[in-house]
Amino acid sequence: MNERSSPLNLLRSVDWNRFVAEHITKSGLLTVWLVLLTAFTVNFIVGRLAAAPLTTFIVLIIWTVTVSLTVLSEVRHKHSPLTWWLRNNLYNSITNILITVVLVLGILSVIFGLYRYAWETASFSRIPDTERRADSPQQIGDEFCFNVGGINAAVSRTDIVNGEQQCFLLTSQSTDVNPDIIGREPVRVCFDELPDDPENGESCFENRTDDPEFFVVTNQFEGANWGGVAANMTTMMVFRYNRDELWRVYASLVLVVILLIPSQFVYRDSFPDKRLRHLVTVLWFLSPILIFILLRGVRPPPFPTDSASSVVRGLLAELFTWEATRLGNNLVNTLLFIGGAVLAVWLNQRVYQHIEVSKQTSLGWQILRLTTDFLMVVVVVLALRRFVLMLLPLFRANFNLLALVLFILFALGWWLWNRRFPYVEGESGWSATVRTVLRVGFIIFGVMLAYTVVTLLGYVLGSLSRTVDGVSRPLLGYVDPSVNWGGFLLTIIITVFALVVSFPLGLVLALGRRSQIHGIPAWLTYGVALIIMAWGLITLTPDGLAAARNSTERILAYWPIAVPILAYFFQRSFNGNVVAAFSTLYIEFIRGIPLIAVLFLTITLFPILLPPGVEILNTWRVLWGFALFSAAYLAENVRGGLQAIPKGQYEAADSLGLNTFDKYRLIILPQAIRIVIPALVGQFIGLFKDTTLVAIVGLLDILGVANAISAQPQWLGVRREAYLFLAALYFVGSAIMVAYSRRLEQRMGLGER
Amino acid sequence: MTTKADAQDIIICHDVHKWYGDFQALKGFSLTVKAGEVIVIIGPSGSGKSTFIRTINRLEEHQQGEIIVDGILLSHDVRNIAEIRREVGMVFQQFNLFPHLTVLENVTLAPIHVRKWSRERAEETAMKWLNRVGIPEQANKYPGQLSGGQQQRVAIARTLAMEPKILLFDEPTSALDPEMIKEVLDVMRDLAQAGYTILAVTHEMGFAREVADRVIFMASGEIVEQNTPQNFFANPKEDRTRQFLSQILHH
Repeated sequence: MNERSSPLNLLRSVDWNRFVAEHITKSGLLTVWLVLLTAFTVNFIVGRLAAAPLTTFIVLIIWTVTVSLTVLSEVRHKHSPLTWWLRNNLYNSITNILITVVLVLGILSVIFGLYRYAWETASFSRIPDTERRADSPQQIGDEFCFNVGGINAAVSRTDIVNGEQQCFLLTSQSTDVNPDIIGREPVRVCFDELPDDPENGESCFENRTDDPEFFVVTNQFEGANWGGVAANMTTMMVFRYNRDELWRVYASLVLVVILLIPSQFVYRDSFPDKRLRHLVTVLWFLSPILIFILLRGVRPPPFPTDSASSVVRGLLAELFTWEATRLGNNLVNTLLFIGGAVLAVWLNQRVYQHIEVSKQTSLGWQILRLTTDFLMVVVVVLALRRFVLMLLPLFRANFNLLALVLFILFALGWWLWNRRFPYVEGESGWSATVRTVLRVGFIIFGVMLAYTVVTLLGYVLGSLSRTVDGVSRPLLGYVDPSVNWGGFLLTIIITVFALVVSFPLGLVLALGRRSQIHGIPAWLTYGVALIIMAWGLITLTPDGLAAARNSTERILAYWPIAVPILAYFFQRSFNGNVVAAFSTLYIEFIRGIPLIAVLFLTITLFPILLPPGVEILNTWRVLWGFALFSAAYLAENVRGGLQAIPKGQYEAADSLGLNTFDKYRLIILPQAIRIVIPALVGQFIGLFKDTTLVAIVGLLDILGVANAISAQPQWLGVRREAYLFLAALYFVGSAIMVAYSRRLEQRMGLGER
Repeated sequence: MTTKADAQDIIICHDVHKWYGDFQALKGFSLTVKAGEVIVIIGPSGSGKSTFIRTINRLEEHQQGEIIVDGILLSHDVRNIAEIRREVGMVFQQFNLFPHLTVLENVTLAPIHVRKWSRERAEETAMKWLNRVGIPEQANKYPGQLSGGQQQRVAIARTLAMEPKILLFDEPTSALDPEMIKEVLDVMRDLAQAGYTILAVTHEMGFAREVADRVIFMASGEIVEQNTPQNFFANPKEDRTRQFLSQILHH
C-alpha cells in the first residue's frame, strides 16, 4: 500500500506511450502545432517577464503549482473539486496548459495596459495645454503659491526666481480643484515641498516671452488625454441643442426614469392595483408625445401672450373667427346628396340581407358586395362633405365651432337612437341604416373636433412663458430639430423612434407576408394585364419607336409586353394575394439594399416625390428611413416566430370561435414574440449602432461630434480617447438592452412547455 | 333513445367532397346527426375521419356539397363560420392548450373574448367545468406543468366553457399514456350521458360500444358502414369492416 502510493510508483503506473500518443504524436499536424505553440509560449513569457516581471512571475508560479497539482491528481486518479475543475476546463491537454498561461498573461497585459493608458498616466484636465498659465507666483514662508488657469502643479524655488523653463512634478491628482471653475477663473494653489526629482517631473512651466509674470504649463503624460472628451461632454451628448433649453432634455430623461421605476413592479402578476397599471401604460403611450413636445417645442400661437387674459382672449378669438361668407350652396342639391347617401347605405344592407347564404361564395356576389361597399363609402363621404360645406356659411366659415356642434349632434343622435332602437344581431332596414350613418358622422366629426382640440392645446402650450434674466421667453419655444438635435441625443431619438415605429409596422408586414386571403382571380389579373398591354402597345409603343435613337430604346419601346409577364409572376408566386405580394416585395426590396442607400434615398430621392413647396426636415426623413428599414428586418424575425407556432395553436383558437384579430393578439403573437425576443434585441442593438451612419447624410450624431473634437485646435489629435469613450458608451447602452431582454425572456418564459 | 330519434337534425352533411391537391380526402360524404346523438367514427388511418370532423367547424374547407350546422349553412361567410364555431367545440389529439396562459386563463379566454362575458362570470363557469373534469386545484398552473391526461381534461373544460351544442373529439386519447386514457374517457362518457351531441374519432372500441348511439366506419373518404354499436361489432356487413375489426380487435 505504502509502496504503491510512492511518487515513483505513481509515475510508473502511467501509460506513457499512450500519453505521448494522445497528446503529441497523434498526428503530424498536432506535433507541429505543439512545437510552434511551445515556442510561442516561451517567447511570450520571456517578453512579458521583461515588460512586467512581477505579475508575470506570480502568474507563472500559480500556473506551475496548479498544473502540478492537477497532474498529480490525474496520476493518482483522485481529484479534489478544484483540480477536477482545472482538469476539465484549463489543463486537459498539453496544448491547453500552454494556451492557458498565454491567455492569462495576455489578458493581464491588456488590463494593465489599459489601466496605465486610461488612468494611471492619463490627463484629466479639461484645459488644453496651451491654455494653462501659471500666474503671479509668490513665496510665503516655505510655501510657493501661484494662480493657475485650472491646473495644480508643483513648483520649485529656483525656477520661479529665475523664471527659467524647468520641469516640475505633476501633482494634478494630489489637490482637488473644483472642475467647474477650471478655465473660468484662476485657482490659487499652494505647495509646501520641493519636488524630489525634478528630472522625472511631468509638468513644465514655460516662460511666456510677452509677459514674464506668466508661465505656460505643458502637461507631459504618456497616457490618455481625457480632457478633450470631458471638455466636450455636453456637446457629445446634445451637440448644438440650445444651451438655454437644456432643461428640456433633462425633463425628458426625468420623465423616462419616473416611468421606468413603477414599471419595474406594476407589471408583475402579483401587483394588486390594476388602475395604477393602466395609468402607467397610458403614460408610457403618452410619453413619446410629451418628449416630442419637450424636445421640439411648439410654435408660438398667432395671438399676443403677454398675460393670462390675453391668452384666453386669443384662444376665444381663434375659436370664434368669423368670416363674412355667403350662403353659396344649394340646399336642394345638398339634400339630394344626403338622400343619396342614406339610400346607398340602405341598399348596401339590402344586398347583404337578400342574397341567399348559399350563393355568397360566388364571384359575382363578391364583386357585387365590394362594388356596393365602395359605392356606399364614396357617396357617404361626398354627402358629408356637401353637408359640411352647406353648414360652413351658417357658422361663417368657423370650422372649429362647426366640428363641435356637429360632433355633439351626431353623438347625441347616436346615443338616442341606440336607446330607442337597441342593437339586435343581424338587424336590417332603416334602423341599421340610420345607426350606420350616425356612427360614421360621429367618428368623422370626432376626428375633426380632436384636430381642433389639439390645435388649441398647442396654442395653450405655446403661450406658456418663463422669465430668464428679466426677459420673457416661451417655455416650450420651437427648437429646430435639424439644427438642435445631435450627438447622443440624436442617437437615442433615432433608436427609440425606429424601435417604436418599426415594431407595429414589422408585425403587420410579417402577418401580411403570411396572409392567406383569397386573392384576385387569375382571369381578372390576366385580363387586366392583357388590356394594359394592348393599350400600351397601341398608344405608347409607336411614339416610343419613333423617338428611339438606338436599338436598345427600340426594344424598350415594347415594354407593355412585360406587363403580362409580371402578372404571371404575381399569380404564380402569390395566387393573386395583393397583401402578401406587397409585404414580400417591400421586405425583400428593403433587405436587398443597404441602410446607407436607404438614407441616401430618403435625403435625395424623397423630395422629388413631394409636391412643390412642401418640405420635410432631413431629421424626419432620416428617422422614417431608419424605421422603415428596421421594419423589414423585424418583419422577417417575427415571421420566424410565427412559423415556429404549431398549427394546433391556430386551430385551437379557431375552433373556440376567436376572430382573426383576437387570435393573433391573444394566442399567436404573444408566443411568437417571446420566441423572437433574442433576435429582436439583436436587431435593436444593431440599429442602435447603425445610427452612426447618419453622419453620411449630414446629421451629426455622437460619432460625428467625436470626430469633430480632434479637429479642434486645442485638442488636435485627441481621437483615440473619444473613440474609447464612445465604445464604452455604446457598450453600456447595448448591455442595458441585453439585460432588459433577459429579464423580459424570463418573465415571459413563465409558461414554458 | 326515442327522444333522440325525434330530435331535430343538428348536423346535415350532403355530398361533401374535399380534395388536397389531386388527392380526394372526402368522396361524397353524407350524414345526418340528430341533437343529442353520440357518434363514433372509426377507420384506418388516412380514411378521412379527422378531415371530416374538421370540415364541420371549418378547420378544413370542403369544396363541394353542403354542410348545415344548427341551421346555419357553412359557407365562405365569415359571420356564419364564427356563429358555427361558437356552437361547436373541438378537442384535439395534441390538446393544443395555450402554453403561455394558465389553466384558468385557457378556459376563460373564449367566453370572455367571444361570448363577451364578464371576467367574474367566466371564471365562475370555468371553475365549474374544471370541477367537472376533476382538476380544480390546477387552475393557476401552466399547461406545461400538467400531465398529458390532465392537459386533455383542461382542453375539454376549455371547450365546454363555451357551452357548445356539439362536441367534436379528434382522437382525444391517442397521444396519452395508457394509464391516462381512462381519466379522459371517463369525462367523455360523463358528457355523452349529459346529452351533448358528440362526434368522436377514436380507437377506443370500449368507449364506442358503451356510449355510442351510432358507429360509423370510414375508409378512403367514404362511409363504408354505419350501425348501432351492438350490431356493428357483432355482425359487420362489409368485408372491409370485418377486416378492420379483426385487425384492431385481435392483436
